[in-house]
Amino acid sequence: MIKEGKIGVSEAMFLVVVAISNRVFFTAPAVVVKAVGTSGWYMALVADLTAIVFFCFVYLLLKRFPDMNLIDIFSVCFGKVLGFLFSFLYAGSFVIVCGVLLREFIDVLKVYVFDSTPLSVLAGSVLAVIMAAAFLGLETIARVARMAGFIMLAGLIALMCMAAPQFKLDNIFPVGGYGFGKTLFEGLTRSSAYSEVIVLGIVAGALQGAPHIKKAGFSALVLSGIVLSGILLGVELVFPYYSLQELTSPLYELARIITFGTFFQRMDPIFLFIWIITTTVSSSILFYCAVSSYCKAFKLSDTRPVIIPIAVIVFTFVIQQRDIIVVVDKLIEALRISPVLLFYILPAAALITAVIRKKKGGEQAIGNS
Amino acid sequence: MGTADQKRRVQSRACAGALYLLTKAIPVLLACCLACASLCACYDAKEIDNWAYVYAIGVDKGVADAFRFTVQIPTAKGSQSGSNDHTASGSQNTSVGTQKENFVVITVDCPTLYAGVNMVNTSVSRTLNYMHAKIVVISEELAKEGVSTVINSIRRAREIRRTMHMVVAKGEASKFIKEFSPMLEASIPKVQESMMDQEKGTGLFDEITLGCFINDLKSTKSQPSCALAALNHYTGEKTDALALKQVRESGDYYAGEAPISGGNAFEFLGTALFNGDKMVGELGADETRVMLMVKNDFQTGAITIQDPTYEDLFVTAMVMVHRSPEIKASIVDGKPVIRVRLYLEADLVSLQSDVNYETESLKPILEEAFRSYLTEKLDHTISKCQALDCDAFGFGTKAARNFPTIQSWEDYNWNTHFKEAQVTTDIEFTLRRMGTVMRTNPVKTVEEQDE
Repeated sequence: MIKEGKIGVSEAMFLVVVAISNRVFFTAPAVVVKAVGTSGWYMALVADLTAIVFFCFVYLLLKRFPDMNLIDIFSVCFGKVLGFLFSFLYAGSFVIVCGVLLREFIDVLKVYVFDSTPLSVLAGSVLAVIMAAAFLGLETIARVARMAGFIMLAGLIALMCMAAPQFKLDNIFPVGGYGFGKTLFEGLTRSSAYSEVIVLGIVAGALQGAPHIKKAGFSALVLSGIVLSGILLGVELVFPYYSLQELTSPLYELARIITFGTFFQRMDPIFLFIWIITTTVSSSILFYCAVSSYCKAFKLSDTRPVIIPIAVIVFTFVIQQRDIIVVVDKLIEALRISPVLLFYILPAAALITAVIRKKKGGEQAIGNS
Repeated sequence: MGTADQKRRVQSRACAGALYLLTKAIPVLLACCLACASLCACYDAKEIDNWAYVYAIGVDKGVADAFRFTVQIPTAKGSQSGSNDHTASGSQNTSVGTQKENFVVITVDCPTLYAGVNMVNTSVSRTLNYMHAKIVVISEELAKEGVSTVINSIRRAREIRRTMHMVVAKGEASKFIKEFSPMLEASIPKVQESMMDQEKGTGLFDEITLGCFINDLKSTKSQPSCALAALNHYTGEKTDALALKQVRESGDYYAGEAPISGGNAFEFLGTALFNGDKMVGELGADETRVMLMVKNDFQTGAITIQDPTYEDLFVTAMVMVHRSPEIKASIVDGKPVIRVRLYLEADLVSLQSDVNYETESLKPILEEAFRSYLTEKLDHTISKCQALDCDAFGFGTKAARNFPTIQSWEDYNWNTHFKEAQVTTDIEFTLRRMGTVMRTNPVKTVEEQDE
């Protein structure tokens, strides 16, 4: 049993909000607008609603097995072999999600800022911080996430306010984008954008019971939905859809075009500060979940011996990708579907299995026996 | 016994020491070493004096290669007295440099901007950097052939900012860049910023950023336009009395024609109109102003018209936008129907005649004169743009509201339907203030006083 410590509702909420909202800094807005056009901002809300529905299953499962995390619940519901397999899949998925996030971050960073710095130096630097965070444990990551969450929200609100003079309402017309049906379909499939809410299931033991998970999970999804939708609306109001689709990092471009007279301009260094902090925290959360899932799958009580090997795997994954096109067109697109299956469908299947097999946890199980 | 205890104590002290070294001292030492490494600056750090910051980029059709890029770089020597112009020829006559006062202009023929950067870097001790470039000037000749290749070749680089100003220059861009130097300012970037800010006070040219130009280039809702500039060779200055009889209103001038002598050799006047990536026409001073009024980009400008009472006298008003324009676009039987309503107000700043327009009975005559002048200009400008297939007003952005989806909008193909648009215009014009004079009394001659 890993000693993860205890975290509060707001810390858990910001763990999820930072992990989810971080994607707006990179290629996501352009990819979304390419898929649905001008309706991207409300497609994010459709995706959010879908994620909330799926999270209900996760919450009901965690409520049925109090004081247990998803990895332990899988063993109870699916048996040891299948439970181990799914837990291992979770660990592997977190490694991949963390690797893809890091590679996307580093590629965008190289495009806009550190064009001469080798990829391995950037990846190594970020991974060193992530490893240090993993060594310090969940409590530290959660507290930093809460702080980073406030910084991120304040930064994004400031960015939108400063970009407001450049908003053009005409840019969001035709309001239906590439069709309402397509928007709905993309909203359902892109609900994976919110799949990081599953982090609460992995660290459920550190939260104080199902009511806290419910509060943290639903409030995090609502807040993340507002952030993603708001940012998408903001960039759509500034860049028309045909231009937005072309940009590597629309939010960074937005920061670059802010001007108030001749004195107050070139705000991108401030934005960069928020961007790097948030991404480091976000990838630390995902990395910790990979380590935690792995240790829980193998019943290891100490995470420290696993941190360096998993970091090496993530580093290898990051530097192995051929180019930014592979990352954006293949890996990120693949991550659109697989998290839905793994992070939404699997807990729902576990819940159904638990109901059918009448499996319960905690006092309910004792009561039944 | 005592010796064994002593031995154990020594051993335990040694273990504690080793443990201390492993857990505290070595990590702290390693951390210090890593921190020292970070003090050497960033991996790819370059000092400010390693860079040559380009302030202006000019693009012409090339002679030795596809394009001729011209860059204006400050010398970082400070302002020098006296003339120290000199020209240096590069290899194969593809690179030419001219130093004038405190900046140097380098011209290079190359296929892309970055190929040119590398070529220039072979003869300049500093590395060219476009991070602070404020203006990109494209020659009219190149603009008429198409600018998409140039724009595509420069926009991808991280150093090129979308906030740069986009300008089309009549004649050669390289010559324009050479003359684009400060007259009243010591700083080149300051003069460039101030020059572009003049649009806010005059409305005589369309100040467009590279980002906006790129947006319009890809737009399904409008066509691109940008500021038009030219070197003024003072040919517009009239010196003979005969020329004075050919009165031309200030709003009728096009870039390079303003009757000015002295001052800077360059001027920004009018708008370059594009159909796709090709320049197809230009707008003059007042045409640009009415276009900016419709786009809600007009702030203020002095507009001069003939006095409604005396045709040989003139009236000037400082015109401002009272509120945002109302533009309604609908599609009737497949054709666009656009209704434009502008709300303008003005302060009277110059009245040559002694007609008492300040009175309630005569003020409407002057307001009507301004209103009809501007309406005529607006109608003429819209017709001109329709004839050129160029929706520089962005009416398409309003028309798009009538379509539920992007597919239906793109299938309609606004840019081909713009010429069929039936546009009705209406201007509400109010003279708010009469300047420092509230009443114009007639000049009293001896004869009049005798009567």
